[in-house]
Amino acid sequence: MRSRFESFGLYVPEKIVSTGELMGRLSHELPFTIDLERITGIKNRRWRSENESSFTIALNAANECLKNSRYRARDLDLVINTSISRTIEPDNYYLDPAMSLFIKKELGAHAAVNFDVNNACAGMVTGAFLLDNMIRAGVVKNGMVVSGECITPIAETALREICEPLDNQFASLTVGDAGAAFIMDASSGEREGVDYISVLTNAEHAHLCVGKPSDVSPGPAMHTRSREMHDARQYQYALYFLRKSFERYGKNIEEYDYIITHQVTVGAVKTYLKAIAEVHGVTTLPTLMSVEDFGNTASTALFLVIYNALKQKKIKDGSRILLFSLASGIGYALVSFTMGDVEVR
Amino acid sequence: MGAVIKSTGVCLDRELGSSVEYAAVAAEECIANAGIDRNDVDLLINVGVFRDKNLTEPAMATMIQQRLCINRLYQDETKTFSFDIINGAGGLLNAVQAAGALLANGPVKNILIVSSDTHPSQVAQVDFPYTSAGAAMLLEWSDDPARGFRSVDFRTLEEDYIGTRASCNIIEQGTNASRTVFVEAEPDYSRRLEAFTIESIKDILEGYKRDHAVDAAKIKLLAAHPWKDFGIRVAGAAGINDYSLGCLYEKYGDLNSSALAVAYHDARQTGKIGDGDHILFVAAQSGLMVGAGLYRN
Repeated sequence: MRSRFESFGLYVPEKIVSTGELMGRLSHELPFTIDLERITGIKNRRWRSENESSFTIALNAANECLKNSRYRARDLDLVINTSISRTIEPDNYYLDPAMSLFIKKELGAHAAVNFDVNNACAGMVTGAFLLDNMIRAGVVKNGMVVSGECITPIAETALREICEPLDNQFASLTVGDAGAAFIMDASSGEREGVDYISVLTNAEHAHLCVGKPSDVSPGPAMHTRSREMHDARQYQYALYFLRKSFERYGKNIEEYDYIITHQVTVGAVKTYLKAIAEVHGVTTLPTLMSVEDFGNTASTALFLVIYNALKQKKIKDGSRILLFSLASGIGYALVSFTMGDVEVR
Repeated sequence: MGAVIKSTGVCLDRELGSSVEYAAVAAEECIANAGIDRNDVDLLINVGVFRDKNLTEPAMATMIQQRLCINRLYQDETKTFSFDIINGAGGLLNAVQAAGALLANGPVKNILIVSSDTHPSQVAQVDFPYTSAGAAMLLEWSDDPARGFRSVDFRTLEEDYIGTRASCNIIEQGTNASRTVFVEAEPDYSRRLEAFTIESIKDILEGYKRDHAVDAAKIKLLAAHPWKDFGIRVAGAAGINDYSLGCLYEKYGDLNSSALAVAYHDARQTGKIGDGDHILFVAAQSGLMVGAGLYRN
């Protein structure tokens, strides 16, 4: 038996903030101008309204997903929330109860088991990894993975606190808010479904990107040692993971319609694709991106790309997809699957 | 047949400060007790709730893996994957249920579930109701039809009542937010949680009798204790006669995410759990939510 992606949901706030506008709001003057749009390729990102939180963003995505699904909330066996930001009310960070409890109650998914997964930007893929295994083992028939990333508060902290050109909060200016959800169940046919989910953590570098409330000014902060996160050692480690995964699962890279990587910057996406291409001895790979218009939406990024591509009919019934997730930790994951007859309305 | 507990480890009565350290010390003991090579851990799942400095990323599990030096450098057999599951004291049962599926499907063989809670300031605080501690439990697969976790079940109160919540308003707390968490109970929490737990456990036990032919009279209750004698009142009202595993609340306080693993560890060490015993793990918490796991040693 295989699992499959049965439906998808997405929610993004209406407000758009351009990179130029954002850089104009830096509190401290820097010794020279930094063209963040040129460096990252990010033009815009979505920005929460003042009443929005991780919870409301996740809930909107979950409701959208249910609209696109055969299942009703009360049919769900499992609800996994994977938001990195964990605000139920705006700015109010929760550790207990789990955010998935609030989502499950609000949806009316009363029969579902719920828990939260925390695995940085690999959260939704980690949720898929668990749900895929639980469906295949017959522990659950279906489940929803949902994430609401309300992460522009880290950009606001960065705007207040950045005071030098190589500040380790620059990566915080690349983020955008978004919620995503998907439902998985057992595949009814041979064609659609998940081939494999390969996962690995290179914990030696767990400390390179850390999120926590700031000790300098009021707000959440993310400190990223960007150079080390993207240096040659990390590239070699990614190659190692990719080689091991492809050796084990043996899928031909040319059979994929799209290879979608985590969305950090345009340059990072190109680097991740280069690593996959290098392992297979090819030069170019077909991909889809959201980072230019939405920035880095953390755990929701891969599924934001998928949702928009479904909407634009770029991904359709029978499309072969490979997802490459990267996360602070440092976590790596590959998800290989065939899309079924999935609609987004 | 199913996921079985190969070994456990705990970290109690020590002022370590860091939630990473509590989990790591417990994990060291657990790995030593299992007699496995630490690099043979396929999955490291951290179910701890309260963490150093209210860290939101990376997963604490990755920091615990780093601290334990598990597969630090990439070698041919590097395979560990680490992540957190957060769901109060019941997070252990969520991890056990997921682990059962992963072990059944393979090729995963060793799943290390760790937990720890500490105040985000890493210093003991009088208004923080949870004991700083850590625990670890190593699960593996057994083909023995008599052994393993047979069922994991949850019940959630449908109405809006949550019972208790732990949160920190990052803006209001300002530069203290990384060292602050507020735990607040709603009125009538203890009475309502006990009543909901009794109702839930009765319902779950009926299912076990029907589906697994396990009678409540043969079951030993192993409960996470949010307060003193919670378990004995639940056992008595739910028709479980064997409460020999007792209550660790007076000894350790509320161990939250580590409560079930510590109680199991303690009962094994003191010989209160023997081979073949039917154990009912019970965690009751905010939500209101009750988790139960039927296990045979």
